[in-house]
Amino acid sequence: MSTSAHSIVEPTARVKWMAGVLVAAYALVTLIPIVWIVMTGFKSPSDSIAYPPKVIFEPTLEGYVNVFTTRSRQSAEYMAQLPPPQTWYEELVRERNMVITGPSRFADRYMNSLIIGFGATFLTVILGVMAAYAFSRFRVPLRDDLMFFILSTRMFPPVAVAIPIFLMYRELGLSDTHLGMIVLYTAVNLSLAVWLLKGFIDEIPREYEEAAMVDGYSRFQAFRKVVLPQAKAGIAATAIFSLIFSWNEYNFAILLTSGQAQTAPPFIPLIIGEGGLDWPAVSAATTLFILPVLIFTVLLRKHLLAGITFGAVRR
Amino acid sequence: MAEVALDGIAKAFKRTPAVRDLTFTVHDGEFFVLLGPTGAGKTTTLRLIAGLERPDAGGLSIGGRDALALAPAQRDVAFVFQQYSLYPHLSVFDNLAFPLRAPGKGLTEPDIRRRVEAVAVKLRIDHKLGNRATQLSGGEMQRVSIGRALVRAPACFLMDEPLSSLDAKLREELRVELKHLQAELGATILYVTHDQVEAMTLADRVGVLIEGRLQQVGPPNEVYERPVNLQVAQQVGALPINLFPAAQLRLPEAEIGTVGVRPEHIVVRPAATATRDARPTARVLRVERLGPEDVITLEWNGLTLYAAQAPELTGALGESATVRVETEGVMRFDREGRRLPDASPSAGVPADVELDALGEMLGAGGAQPPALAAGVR
Repeated sequence: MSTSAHSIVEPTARVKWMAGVLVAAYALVTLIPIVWIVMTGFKSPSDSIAYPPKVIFEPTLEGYVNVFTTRSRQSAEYMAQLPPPQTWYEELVRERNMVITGPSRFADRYMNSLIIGFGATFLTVILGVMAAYAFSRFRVPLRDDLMFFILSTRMFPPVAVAIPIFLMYRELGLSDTHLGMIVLYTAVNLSLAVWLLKGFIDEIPREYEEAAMVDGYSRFQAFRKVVLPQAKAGIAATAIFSLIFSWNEYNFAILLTSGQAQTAPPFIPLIIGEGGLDWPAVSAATTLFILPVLIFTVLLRKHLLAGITFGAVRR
Repeated sequence: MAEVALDGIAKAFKRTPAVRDLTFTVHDGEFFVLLGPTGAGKTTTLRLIAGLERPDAGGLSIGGRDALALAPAQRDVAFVFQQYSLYPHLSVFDNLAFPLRAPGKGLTEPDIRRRVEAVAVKLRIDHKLGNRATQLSGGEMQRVSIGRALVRAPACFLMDEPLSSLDAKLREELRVELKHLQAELGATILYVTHDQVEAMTLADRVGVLIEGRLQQVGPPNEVYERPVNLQVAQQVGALPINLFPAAQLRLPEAEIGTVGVRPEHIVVRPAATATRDARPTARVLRVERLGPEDVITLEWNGLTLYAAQAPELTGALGESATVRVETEGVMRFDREGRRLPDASPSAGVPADVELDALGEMLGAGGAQPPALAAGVR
């Protein structure tokens, strides 16, 4: 076949070139802010607010040190009589006439985000896949109404119910607890999870489970051995959507957490108050904050791709 | 292997009956084919036996045990599905081993490996064991699917049109293999199909299922040659049976409602061979030369007829032809569609008769049916 032959599936060279330009432009626009955040994390405070903005600069880990420590400013006399610094980060801090007074709360908040984010995601996937399976396979009474009811929880922004939830949580003692936040995020995510996963499970012919059940497996075993592996793409997509929501959620976090269960999103803006305009520290925290979702998404990318094209799955 | 007995099984879906009052027995070691058109309830019957559906009424025993109270896993039957039979996320080996790894089987991995390999060799898929199930051709997939039933050595095999998704040549090949396997294993098989040829070639006995009712059970040739009613006569046979309403044959108002003649009992000769009592009366619409036989489509008195005969009989057919009917192949049905019993053979009946004279001959006896033979066999 000659290369100039017309094809309705193969794009022409010109279309390909234009598509390439568009994709590159889009990538540039979306990546610049992220690149800027990562860069700012490695700048010194003065470089970070320099005008015109500096693209070439001398990188420093000061921002990262500041994220993880609390520091206090001391007089020159006090600094002079200190023993020599033990570590590279102490040295970095002393250049600014400060001493480290202890660890910051960032590591705790980050840990809280991990526990709550992954906890809620795990719970969402487990409950979602079981509910979706039941809706897909069993004669659930009022199934269509229930499915609509589940979807209807998505018809208003979650924060619209913030005040009732705040009051409920105060009464139940769930305010500022890991459990409370996991339950809340699970509840918000579950509607999407059930709908998404039901679509995937509907696509899996029930003959597979029936074959397994005739072959000596119970329904639950058939579900685990036959349905779950084939719903991988849906589970991956659901997990990613769920994690992104739980991880980034700000409104409920700021309302319901303040101390022991506070997640990173409400905490990161507070960093800027500790020691003036510490943009490098904020950016360093943000960079670290982006990483888990990024890693998680890259790990599940293969499945996610199949997940986004759901409905187009070949039967 | 074991016997499977259904006793008055009925099942309706949302008040639409799927099967009604189904009673039949698949004997130990028998190849039983359930034949019927789409929607007749064939698959439902298999699913009821496997325990994937619960009957509304009736009884079921497998190997002498009452099976209705048992979960599918406990019934010891193997199901070969029409489609979607292999787990796409597993290799061929794991697909074959899947039933053996079921909880409570208590087989060791070396045992499993031995049994899987034995079955794979038997089905000639041993070189594919490492492949993913999705990398197989259609024929290989269906072999693995049958293999997955074979590794278990169950009480009974239930097969739901296992060959229907394959191309013609492969289907023929697997059909022969399947029959061979069954004979070798002495397996009890309940096989469901709408394919005439499969039913005729595979079955020890055929059950004809129409609209959820079992119409007739018997050896293939019996069901073909002596159908109990019009529906069965129409259902069985690769070529449609020729049906003559009594009025078309100018039969007097009598018990005969319809006369049926299978295509192979219609003899078509070129008009050139016409004699005084064999006038060319039918118009030739089409001649399909299939090799071993010709299928001729005719128009006679406004009816479309099919005839099948050896090519050397057909000769050079023009637009018109003479048509004769072999009297041994004439079936008479009453006004409700029930077949009337063939009268005992008598000397006075000619071996064949011109189509135009068929009604005359049948009507000769009036209400008393003439001695039309079923039986030069």
